[in-house]
Amino acid sequence: MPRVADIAIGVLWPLRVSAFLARTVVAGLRGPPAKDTLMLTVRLLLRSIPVVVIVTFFAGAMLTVQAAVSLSGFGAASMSGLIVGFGGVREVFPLLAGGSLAARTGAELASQLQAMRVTRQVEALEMMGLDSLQLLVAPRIIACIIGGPLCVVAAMVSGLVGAHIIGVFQLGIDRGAMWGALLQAVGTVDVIVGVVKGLVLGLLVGVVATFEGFCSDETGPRSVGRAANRAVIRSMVVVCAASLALSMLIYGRLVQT
Amino acid sequence: MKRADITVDTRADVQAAIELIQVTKRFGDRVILDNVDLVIARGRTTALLGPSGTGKSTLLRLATGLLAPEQGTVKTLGVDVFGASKSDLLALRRRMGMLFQDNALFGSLSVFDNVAFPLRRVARANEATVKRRVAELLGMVGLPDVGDRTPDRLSGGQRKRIALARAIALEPELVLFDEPTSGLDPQTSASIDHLIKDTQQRLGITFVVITHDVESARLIADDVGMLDNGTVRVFGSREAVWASTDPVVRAFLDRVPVQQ
Repeated sequence: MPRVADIAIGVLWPLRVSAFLARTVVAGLRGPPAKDTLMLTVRLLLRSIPVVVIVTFFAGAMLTVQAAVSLSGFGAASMSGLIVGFGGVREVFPLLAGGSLAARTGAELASQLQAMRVTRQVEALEMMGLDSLQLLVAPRIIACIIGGPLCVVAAMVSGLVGAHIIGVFQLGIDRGAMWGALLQAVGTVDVIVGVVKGLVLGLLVGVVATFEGFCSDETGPRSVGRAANRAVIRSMVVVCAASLALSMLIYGRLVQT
Repeated sequence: MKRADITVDTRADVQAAIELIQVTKRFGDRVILDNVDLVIARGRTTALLGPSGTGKSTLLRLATGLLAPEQGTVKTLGVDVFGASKSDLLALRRRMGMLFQDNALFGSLSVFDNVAFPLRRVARANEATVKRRVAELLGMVGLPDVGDRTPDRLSGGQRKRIALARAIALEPELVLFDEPTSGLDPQTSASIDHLIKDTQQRLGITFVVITHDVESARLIADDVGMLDNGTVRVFGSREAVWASTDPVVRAFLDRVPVQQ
């Protein structure tokens, strides 16, 4: 049974994260360190893109298998590209990019900041008269905002490569038919929507992960692992909820009943 | 006002580096500091002694604004810490240095970059000035040749020296030490004590040292205070405190075992 205090903490959590974001925006407006932000962005991309590429390659391939199986009953396996386009490019690939970002970078950011908190490095910065939100948190969130869309684009490309390899080379779907169906489903607008999703998911992963690392009251070495764990779980949940909300907002109005 | 009867020096006439006026601090139901008044003089080394958990580190964090009291006023270098705006508080902290118990060196940076950090980020010094000043500071703490190492490749005493070099890099008016000899062997502790004493004499600034190391306090301090049960049990010159006949003070200074 969850305790009343735990429920209260859960209810207050979004408010605390929002307040943390507001404070970080105010601190960030004073100018986060450009060199640190650039280095963090490069590091994020180097660490997250390989995970994104591997995960979405297999997701694209599996989506194609299921699309081909289900459509072959209607003699329309060549239309598998439609499902890869609607389901993969619009939904699954951006979602997996956000999830991979949460798992790889979210855990790293939270553990870094919690370790700095535990070893008093954050206090040391503040004792130098420096703003730790401006110096530590803002660059990490900006790196996630920059990295999010790039991860989504990488996810789309990798997912389509996976779909192509399995669909064309393994299942024998005609290349022209596969890509023709795909391009019926997906246009430039969908890529732009994916990039916007990447921005939002990157922001959410960055804020949740830095909040869990920076704002924890826990002490001791174990708190580092716990912060990383919380960051991954909570940013995954937020990424899923935000993906659904964005899909309903952007594509929900296109439903004809 | 919770000041122990046997306080030997009210410090009413000194210029204060840190002043606590009727300060109370609680963690949950536990009272850490109970209506405490304290004046720490400028230009001297003051050691605050006391058993673990008596609020020594809390007192340091109150003086820096890292913690807020439930009640009372804290003035550091003449600034009302909790009446100041955030920018004023950050400006106040630039006039202070702090040596943390665990040193709080940045593990991802070299020793040189650790010491250079406040010079680059706070003072915005040019690189030639940074190099000259870091070399000077590393020489001052007796480690001129370790600049390219990372902190994890140094001994505990060496890390403490580097932390001191970083703490005094911006030529602060006040340096706070949180258990500077904690976890060090007796010889290394003694060398750190001498370094603190020599550095204070060379710079002539205010040092406040939180410690439960009686020998260390006796060597480095001009003034000594002892915290006990949330109050300042005794405060005064080192000689006066060491001459105290108060049983609690004597038991601590003479290392009488605590009855469990």
